[in-house]
Amino acid sequence: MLADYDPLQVMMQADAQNKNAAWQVMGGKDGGALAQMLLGSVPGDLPNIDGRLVQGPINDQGRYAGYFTLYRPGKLVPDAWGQILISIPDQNVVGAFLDAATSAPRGNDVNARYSARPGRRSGAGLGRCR
Amino acid sequence: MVNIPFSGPALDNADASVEAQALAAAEAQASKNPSAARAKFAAIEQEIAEHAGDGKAGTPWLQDFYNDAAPAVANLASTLHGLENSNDSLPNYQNRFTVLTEEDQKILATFGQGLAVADAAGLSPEAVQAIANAPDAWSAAMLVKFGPPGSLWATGEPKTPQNPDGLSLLAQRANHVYEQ
Repeated sequence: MLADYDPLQVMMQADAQNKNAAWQVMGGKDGGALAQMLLGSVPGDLPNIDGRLVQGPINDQGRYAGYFTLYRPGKLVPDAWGQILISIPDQNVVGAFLDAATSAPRGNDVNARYSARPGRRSGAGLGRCR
Repeated sequence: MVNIPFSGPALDNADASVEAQALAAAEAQASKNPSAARAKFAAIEQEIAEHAGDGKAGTPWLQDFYNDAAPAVANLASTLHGLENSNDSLPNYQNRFTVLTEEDQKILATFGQGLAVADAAGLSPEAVQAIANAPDAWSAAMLVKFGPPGSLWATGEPKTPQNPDGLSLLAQRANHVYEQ
């Protein structure tokens, strides 16, 4: 399955197992946008799509790794390129990632700050996603 | 010509540097000489496995190797994928949708395992950046996919101007994938 090789899904799975990494991602500058993408819809795209795996230039015969170039939601795909495979992440992976990302202790320590930065649209408070 | 010290940490460091250079050279020549590249990848894989199996005694070698080889390591999965169709013949239709062969996956698993050990023990900021912000997001992610569970990777990195919050390699890698 090509979806098994989706790099964002791969990273969410590993980050969920690491916990600290999941807190850091969700508490970081892209945390809010990522949560919106995983739980809802990025403007102009269908819900829960984490990217497109785009085939390389015509006649590349699949020999270049560009065959698997990842385009994030909303990013335009060049007209001259071929097949586009819509990538929807495994919802078990998404659920585990969101669980881990929101599992940091509350309070004032650095982990709590990552998990729930005041004033940021992070994943904090999203609750369980199963 | 390469000078190799006789013994001790300096020998390990020099050996790791030589293997890092060999990896980069093998990748550069992969399209022209796929069989030689595969042989080199397998030899380095074996060396990584041996040092990882040595426990703490093997960790300094792994740190030295990944500090020097990080850009080439990040590019390894794409190189392996490219080798499947590198002989200028038409791809075998039966294998057309094989992303990485079982042999490729085994190589990446070993390289990923060694990277996780080195990351947990401490990598240079430059090496972390080379993996975390690798231009080929897919290739670097495959080290994580086939490597050990995320719990065995570092939970943070030293704070640097490029990484002021000390984010872990895994978190930086995820951010970079998303931003791409």
